[in-house]
Amino acid sequence: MSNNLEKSVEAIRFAIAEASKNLIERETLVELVALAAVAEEHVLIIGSPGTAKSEAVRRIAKATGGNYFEYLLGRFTEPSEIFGPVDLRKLKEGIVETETSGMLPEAEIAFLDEIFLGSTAILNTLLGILNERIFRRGHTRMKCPLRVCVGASNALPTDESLAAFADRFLVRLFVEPIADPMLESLLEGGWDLAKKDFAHAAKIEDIDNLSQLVSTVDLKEVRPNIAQAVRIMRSSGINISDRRAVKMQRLIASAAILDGRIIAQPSDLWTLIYAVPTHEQQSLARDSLHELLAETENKTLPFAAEDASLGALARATRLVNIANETLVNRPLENENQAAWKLKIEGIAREIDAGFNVETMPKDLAEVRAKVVEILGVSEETNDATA
Amino acid sequence: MTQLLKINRQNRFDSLQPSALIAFGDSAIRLRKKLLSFDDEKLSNLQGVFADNLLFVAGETDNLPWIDGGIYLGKDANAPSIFLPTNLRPDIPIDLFEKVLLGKFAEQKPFVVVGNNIIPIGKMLPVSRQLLSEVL
Repeated sequence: MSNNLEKSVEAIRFAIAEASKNLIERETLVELVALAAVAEEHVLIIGSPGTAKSEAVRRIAKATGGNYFEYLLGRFTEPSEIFGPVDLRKLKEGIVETETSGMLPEAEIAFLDEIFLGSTAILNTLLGILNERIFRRGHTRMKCPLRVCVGASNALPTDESLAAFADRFLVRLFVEPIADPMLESLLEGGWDLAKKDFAHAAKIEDIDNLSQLVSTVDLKEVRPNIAQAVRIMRSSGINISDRRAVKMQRLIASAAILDGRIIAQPSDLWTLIYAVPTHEQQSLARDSLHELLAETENKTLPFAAEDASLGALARATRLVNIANETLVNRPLENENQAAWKLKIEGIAREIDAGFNVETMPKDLAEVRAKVVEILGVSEETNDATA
Repeated sequence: MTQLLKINRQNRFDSLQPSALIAFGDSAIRLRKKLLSFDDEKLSNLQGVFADNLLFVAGETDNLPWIDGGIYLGKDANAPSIFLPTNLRPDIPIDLFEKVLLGKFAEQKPFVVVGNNIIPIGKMLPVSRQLLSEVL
């Protein structure tokens, strides 16, 4: 990989880390928006209101420097609220043109909440933007710079025409409210979220650099595995259309690129899970594909990879990242040391609970050794002061 | 501690949620020392069983201590009376195994199955400073 591309992957990795700061249990969402943007696909999030969906998308848009548009749709939302008002000066000349400045047709990253509440007029126009990146309305026809559109809803639509529209969103993520044991972290993170600003870690050009590479990724090695995975899913009753099966390859290629490779491997197959349309079918796919997903790993998208595969390697990568970040952020003041050590101890617990010390991956073993050293010194200090 | 049969095991694809910690020998001594460094409120979140050379404590994941050499245990949904190492899966049908154990030793449940050993835990006691000072 050339230096430029390496830089783009590194920038996106940094952007994801910045966007995820203080967002509790929404790392997967942030990572999937980045993956979909590189794959030039769209994301559909299903989950109850108030689960930080828009905040997560807003933050990754900001961290990647993308021109961002968001809107909460309702049954009475007018097309002009999304696409822009009719240009009145041109209307006097008999031309119906839309003034798109600052509206969806000019956005690079978009978030549309309650997307299925949009009127037929809105959804039809949106279809052109999602599929072809072209905005057509009246006499206006323009190319859209949209990299990724994230739609959100409480539930998947049951209406057939809406289901066809929903099918345009290749990546599906089902989010749950934060679990009770994480509530303290949620409150603390939410409080800090409002106070802290973060860096524009990447540029939209970084996403473009990586997107351009996607079609050059070598999928030869992994294609038989993809076919096998689709066969297994179909035989388990999971509905994978031919279109989805073909498009899944873009996600796999994008995962490879974001992991710094131009050759896709079986470790990239985890992305298939997010292309499965329903929550129940995603769970079924995780179970039926677990052997194929055993090698799952991605340095840039560790949370999404782990959530998809529940695989040990993906979990190891995430733990290595968390441990390294925590180790370098050792507080200077004495009073914060106790909280920091508790965090280190939590990491040690997660490593030991998830892995066998003798057989764990090398980089995890190295990070565990550092953690054990710190906690060992801490125990000796306790002994000395006891 | 009873050695009944040879149980092979493999790494778990998805690890169990830790709900107990067991330590033997030197690790048990380290665990005792660690627990003694806890304040009373923190200790009150744990229950345990202590025997020669062995310390077992159970509680919520976040309340479990960490020591080098400790073995985290969790419960498989198919066999809720058995604590298993969180990262290993025995290659025996664990639900049937639990039925056999409960059939013969129901009053000694729960059990820890670690290595080739089956350790009956029975009634757990609240962990206290006094209790810890009496063991090991």
